[in-house]
Amino acid sequence: MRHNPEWQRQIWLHWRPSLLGWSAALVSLLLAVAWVSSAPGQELQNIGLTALLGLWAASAGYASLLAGRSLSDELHQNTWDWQRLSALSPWQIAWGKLLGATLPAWLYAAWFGLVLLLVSTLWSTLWQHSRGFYMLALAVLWGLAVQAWAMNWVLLGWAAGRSWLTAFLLLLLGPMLGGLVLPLLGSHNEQWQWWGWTLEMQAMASISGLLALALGLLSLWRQLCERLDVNTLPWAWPLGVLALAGFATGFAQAPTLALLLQTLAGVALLASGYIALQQLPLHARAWRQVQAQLQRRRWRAALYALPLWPVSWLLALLAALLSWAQPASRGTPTGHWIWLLLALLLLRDCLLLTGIALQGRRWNSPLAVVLLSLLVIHLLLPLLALGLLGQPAAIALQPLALLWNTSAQHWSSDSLGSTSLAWAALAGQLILTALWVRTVFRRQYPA
Amino acid sequence: MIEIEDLVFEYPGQRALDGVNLHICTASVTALVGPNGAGKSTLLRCLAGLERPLSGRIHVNGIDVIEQPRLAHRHLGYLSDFFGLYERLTVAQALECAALAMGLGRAQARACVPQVAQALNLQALLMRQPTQLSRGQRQRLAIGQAIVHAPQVLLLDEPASGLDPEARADLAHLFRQLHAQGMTLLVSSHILSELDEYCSHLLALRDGRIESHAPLHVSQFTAPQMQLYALELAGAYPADSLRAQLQGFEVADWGDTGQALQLWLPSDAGARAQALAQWVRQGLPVAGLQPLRQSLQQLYHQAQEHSDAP
Repeated sequence: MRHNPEWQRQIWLHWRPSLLGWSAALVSLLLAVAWVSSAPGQELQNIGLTALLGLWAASAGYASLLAGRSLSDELHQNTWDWQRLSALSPWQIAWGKLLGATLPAWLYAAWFGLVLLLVSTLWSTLWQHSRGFYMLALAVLWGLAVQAWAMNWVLLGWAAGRSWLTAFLLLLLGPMLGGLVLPLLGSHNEQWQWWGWTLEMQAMASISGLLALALGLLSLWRQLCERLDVNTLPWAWPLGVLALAGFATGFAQAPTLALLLQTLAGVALLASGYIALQQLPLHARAWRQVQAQLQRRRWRAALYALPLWPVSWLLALLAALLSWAQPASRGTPTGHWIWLLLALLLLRDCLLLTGIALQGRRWNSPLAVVLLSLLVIHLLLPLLALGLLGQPAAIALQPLALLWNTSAQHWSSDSLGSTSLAWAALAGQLILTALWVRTVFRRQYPA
Repeated sequence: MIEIEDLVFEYPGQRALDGVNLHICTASVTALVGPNGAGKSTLLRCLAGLERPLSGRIHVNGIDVIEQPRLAHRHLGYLSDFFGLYERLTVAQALECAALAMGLGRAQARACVPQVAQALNLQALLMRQPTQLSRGQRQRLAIGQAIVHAPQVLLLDEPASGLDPEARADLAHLFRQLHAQGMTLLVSSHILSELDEYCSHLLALRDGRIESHAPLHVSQFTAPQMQLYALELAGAYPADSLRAQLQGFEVADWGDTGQALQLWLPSDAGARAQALAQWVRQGLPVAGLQPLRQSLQQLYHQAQEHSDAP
């Protein structure tokens, strides 16, 4: 394996021979406490459980803290420019930090893991020997995944300084992936259906762990490319969205292509909305770069500079169009066009957001302006129109009002007139928003 | 060594560099000067590939910095005015890590640590951590990290800021050494007298545009073929007669005593010999004539006056 200078740096920064002794002493102390506080006959079980908890705390908790800190320290100590000026690749930096900065935590994990294996060997009534190995492997897998996401968190915060938005992403992903691990501590005989396969909980936790790690590393690599000025085409982001949609669709009772497309459209729309908000402060500069590169007919450079939301939005549009073309969904009243409608609505909102971002200096918090505008446009104005003028007026303002249950009205979601009105209103709103953004852009950057 | 074509850089709502065109020749030491907000740091960061310009091209040693910044980094070193150091690495570890990160092999990296330490007078500090170093020593360590891979170009943003006079003198000595080794240096500073000690060229920026770019021994504000000389006279000479004899030559400084003055003479040796012979024939007691560099301060003020002129 090629020597990794970043790993070397991290080892020099974090490794002290005394750690070996300190970690062994602390682990022994914790296990001794578990031993003496156990009821007679329960000692091994208590030690096994303590070792298991310690293993997870070290690999997922302490190690993630260290992994995240390896990046945040670069920012606080103002050393990131050295990394940017180096010849190291994003992968070298990612792996170097992931495996080097977390070394002290892995030391604790190793001691706990050793005890876990010993307990499972000595007392097979508590755990089978193979299960001890499995627990260890799972802690390593999920530990690495959580560490990768901790580093992503720090990098996302660098981009725009919006840690609460970053936390929102983890809130979305966390239950979806992490929730699969928790039942392991309880009934491990539970079975899951995934893409037609019947999988035990352990297998499912491994698959979800692999996905979490793969997505975490992909995202880490992509973000490091950006921070290290390595030009990349925007393929990693839609690939991650695709993988997540594929994983989620597998849990359906009968996963079909139509369902996969609809899930993909949904996940891609969520991803587009999220990343558009997350990168709000960067939009003005990014679009200016895109414009400059397009004017010089440097198509590849324009793609390098492109913000991420149009990429996943295009993926969502493609999935929505393909879903619409699926014979299975044509028979349902709304299933065939709802994703297309949502995709176009999100396009309108992202254009609005872009226009606000272009005038970023006008407001103290452009994000608050965006969120307030969306609240007014999506909810307050349509509700006012519905109360005063009825559903057609609400649909004209908010095409999704088509789905609102207004049985007292003559209009309904099934009527051709209301559907046509919704599409016409949306088209008009899109044109108006696009023209407004064009005007704002020209005013900000006169030719 | 450095080629810049039509470089434009914008911060939101503000153009920091506006169509900069520049050629910096190999083994020159260029003083980058200009008022605050002129675009000096932005220019250096664009050159180092740390900022992506809106348009334009930058080549360092033939490599396109915008297209291949990480490849260009192997050929250049950069020190920011606000640099950081890994506080828990020793000086030796920091230098070795920097060498490894620049793509040097392990043996090569280990070998270059004592060499760089010697060049920067850091041998006695190799086992210390940055927290145990003075400001000047930290600065030298940071420069060591920037030059450990022996780059052809070194970009320095306010390298002497915050240093005491002794540390500044050491720094000037170091830059002269690097220059003697054939390195091309571009140094930004507000302290012109300091740059004057080791710079061969002046690059003045104002409002994101180049105000002047010229070698220090040739003025671009007089005729380009003129050079500054110090003329020494043996004894006092009547001022009126002196002025009459030197009519037709641009005198930069008449001096206080009337015995030593600075004036612009043709770069061409034949034309200069002719002028000298004429003065001697007319009885001017010429005791010495030697070429001078125009001081950076003078040149910068000339550049300012030139740009302010209607």
